[in-house]
Amino acid sequence: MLITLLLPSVRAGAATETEVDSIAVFSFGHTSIQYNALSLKMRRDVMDTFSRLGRFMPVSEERVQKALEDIPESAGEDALRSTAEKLGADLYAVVSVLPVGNYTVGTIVINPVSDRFKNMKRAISVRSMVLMNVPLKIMREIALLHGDLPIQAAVIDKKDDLFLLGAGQWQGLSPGRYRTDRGDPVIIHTCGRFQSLASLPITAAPGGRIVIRSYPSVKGIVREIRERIDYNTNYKYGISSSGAQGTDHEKKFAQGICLINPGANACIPGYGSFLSTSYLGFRQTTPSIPGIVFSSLLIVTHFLLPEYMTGFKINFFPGVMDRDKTRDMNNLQIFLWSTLPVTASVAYLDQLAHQFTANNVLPPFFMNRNEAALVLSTLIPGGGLFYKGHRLPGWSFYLSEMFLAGFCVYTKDDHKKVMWGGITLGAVKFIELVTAYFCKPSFFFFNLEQEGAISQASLSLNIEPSVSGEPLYRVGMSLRY
Amino acid sequence: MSAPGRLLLTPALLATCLLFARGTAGAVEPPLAAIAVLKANSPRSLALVTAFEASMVRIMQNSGVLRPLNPELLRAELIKFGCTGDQCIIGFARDAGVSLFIRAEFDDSNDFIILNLRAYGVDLPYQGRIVYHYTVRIPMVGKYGPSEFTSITEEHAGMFLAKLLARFQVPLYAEADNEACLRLTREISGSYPLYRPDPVPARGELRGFSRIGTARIVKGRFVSPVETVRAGDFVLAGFRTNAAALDDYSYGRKRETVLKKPAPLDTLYMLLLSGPASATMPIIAPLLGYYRPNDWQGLALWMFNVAPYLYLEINGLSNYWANYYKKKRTRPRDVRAQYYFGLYTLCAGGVSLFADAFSYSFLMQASNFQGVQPFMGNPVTAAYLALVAGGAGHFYRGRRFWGYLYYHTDNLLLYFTIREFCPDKKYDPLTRSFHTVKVNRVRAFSLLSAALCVKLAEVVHAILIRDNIMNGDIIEEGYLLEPVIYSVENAGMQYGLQYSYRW
Repeated sequence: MLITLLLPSVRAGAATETEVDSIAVFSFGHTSIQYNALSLKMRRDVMDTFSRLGRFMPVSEERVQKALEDIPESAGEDALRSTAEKLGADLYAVVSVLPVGNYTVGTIVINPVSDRFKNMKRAISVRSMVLMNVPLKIMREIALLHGDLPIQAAVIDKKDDLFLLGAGQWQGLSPGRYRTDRGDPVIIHTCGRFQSLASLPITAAPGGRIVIRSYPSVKGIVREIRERIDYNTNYKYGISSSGAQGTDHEKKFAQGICLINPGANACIPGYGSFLSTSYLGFRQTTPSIPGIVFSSLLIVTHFLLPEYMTGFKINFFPGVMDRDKTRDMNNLQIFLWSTLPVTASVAYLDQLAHQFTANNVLPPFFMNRNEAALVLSTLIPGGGLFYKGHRLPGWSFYLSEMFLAGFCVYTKDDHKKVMWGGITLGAVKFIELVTAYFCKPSFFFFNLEQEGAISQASLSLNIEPSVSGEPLYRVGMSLRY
Repeated sequence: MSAPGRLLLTPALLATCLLFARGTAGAVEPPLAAIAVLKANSPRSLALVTAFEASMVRIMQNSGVLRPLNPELLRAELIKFGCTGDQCIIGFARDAGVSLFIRAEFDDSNDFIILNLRAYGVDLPYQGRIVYHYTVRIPMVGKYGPSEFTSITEEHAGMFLAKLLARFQVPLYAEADNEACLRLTREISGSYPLYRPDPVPARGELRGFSRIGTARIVKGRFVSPVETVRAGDFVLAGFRTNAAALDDYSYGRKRETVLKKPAPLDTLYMLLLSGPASATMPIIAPLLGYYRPNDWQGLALWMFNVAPYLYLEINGLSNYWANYYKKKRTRPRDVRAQYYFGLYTLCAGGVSLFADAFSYSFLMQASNFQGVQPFMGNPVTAAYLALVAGGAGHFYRGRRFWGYLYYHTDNLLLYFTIREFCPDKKYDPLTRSFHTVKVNRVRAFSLLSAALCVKLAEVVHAILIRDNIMNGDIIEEGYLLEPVIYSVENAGMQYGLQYSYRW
């Protein structure tokens, strides 16, 4: 019964409007059901983002929808502008999505209605190969756009010594002192959701506006959106979604490093690293021949370097001393034999990096890629770099660290040399750990999802089999204007 | 009337009488609260909506602090009229005399559901402001049915309301009573800031108020300053006691649901298991504790944290100190200290990470309502574990951060204490005898005292700390600490740190 009595309040509430800057977000139907749904989702997400950032209140979806019904489909810019004016919006935005080549391109065009927001006119386009990331990328751009938007508060009324402002908690205000564009600060005494009572500079008067230099805190929102983009990207390109055989790929990754690869390298040194990669269940595996050749040569080096250094005079096995084998040489030989598993692991990670790139698949643990890279780099020289797809830097760190470690072992009795070798090794390792943690992954398909607004024009090509089995060529060009 | 008819009527009559009695006995009606779930984007989240609304209403009614509206009907009406924006909701709540409007949204993302809750305060001092904002990521990996959904929503409803009530305040206005004295509508006592509101403004406009002093109140009656208080002035009263009670109730109920009742035998089993568990920890913990249930974070932490102590253990036990006498070599104190430390780690010290490896996955299952977990949540076991191994009690409670903090502090203090009490034995080749280097007793006993103090604090903390059985992760996206540079009027720059929280 109580709720029945409250129903008039719902109606009254629906008619409530407070004086805040607003935006009308439009989207138009698409012939494809999928893109139509995406377009609607994008409109809702864009409205939600504007609402969260506290500068432009979106006009309600129902009102926009009703207004759109009165506009013919082929209506131009003027019709949209006049509709936005009728809705009382200060800005209007048109969101659209369309397939371009291999990508889906999402665009938001923001146009001012009020003269105060002339500088807000812009068009932002994003592209993605993951449909659900298109609205998120647009949301991220909108959030970044708000980073330098101060509060433009309407001075509604004056009550005794205080002014009623059309800005409150929603805009990011709370009781306290804020800087303004007029030099003197504004002091907020009482704060509601959309209004505040404040002491203003003497130049302010009811009916005018005051710019409060308080900016939206966009970093938290951007971080949250990035996490969602990461989640969607990982969901699409994760090894589990790639059609790879089996489950528990994280365990297989760990087993591959600890058991399968050492075993495979014991049987076929070098090539075994490539064979082990299929344990992760890739649908197609292609070897990286330079990687196999290089790692095979390194394994040979492990066995033959002391022999070569002594003109092939010393005993082949470490620990077995003879006339020609010095203690330093024996130490080096022990070091080289005992670090064979390290080289085999590096060779394995190198082959995996190649497989991940070739199969458009992200490695296991990629949601926590920086931490995973750090752990791998701690255990295996260059491991984190290989994990993120940087093969050449990975090999560089591996070679540098192995050389320095070998140098320290070889000159074990010369404390000065060991000290300098150790310091250099520590420095290189530190640089590697920092690089592994902070560097961007090299996977093209992943970086595409991370990129921001696309440049003025971009070209895309795609070849895929059609329904009849013949190859279908697609060329797309997107132009931002 | 027939007998069955009378029987049916009796509870209804009783309920009506109770309602009436409560209405007349309670001097003040609790604030009216509206709950509306305005977003749910999957069949799974729709199932959660009904359960959540029912939980909120049940908790509010049982606590007696808030009066809920019918959420189902309200949701339908708000959606029907398109009243889903902040402005409209606040307008509705103000016109309807609702003091608190709680807006909920469920966003399904396959592996988890994000629940977003915002509570708008309508009366003074909030006037539409958000009082509390709670966003939680609820994992959905496991077996979930109606009973799990009910339990999950009940837990979050309880936690949200407890945190909300800890912040929410209502104005209590001064009124003239029969004896021409000013008194409040609720019988509170203590010193409160006294506020005076401005005259009621036009509809929809903000009402100002200012602090005019501090009032001393005894049982709702103003004791001082009687001369300055006017009818209409108000103080703000909170619900902290109710919030604490609700928080305790929610936690207790969760424990009852997901953990087996603690029994003394559990501690006895743990006591018997300690030695073998500690000795086998380096093998059992990584393979069965971390690797098997896919606790990769735990495995990585274990690897880096255990390495120095395992080295000390292996080195200490393999390099037996008594052999130095046989070989007639100077025996450094580290050798003997490492041996004793190795013995400790072998027999007891390893229990810490054994507890971490297993309790973490047990408690994770408990937090997601995936069955009732035995052996967990026993304060006596926690105390025993904290006593025998650094951080073990906290690991047992599922508190990894505290566990590692105590683990390292205890182990380092213990090792250096043993080291200080083990003197160097120097071999003199001339006399062919050993002589003992003097121990620094002040340093040794200082370290021992520090180790004992830390241990005492650790045991007490392990008993008092709650089990980590909370469902989901609270996302605090609004908090931000960042450096800022402002330009000032004289064309100079001002540097600083900015802390912001966005609603």
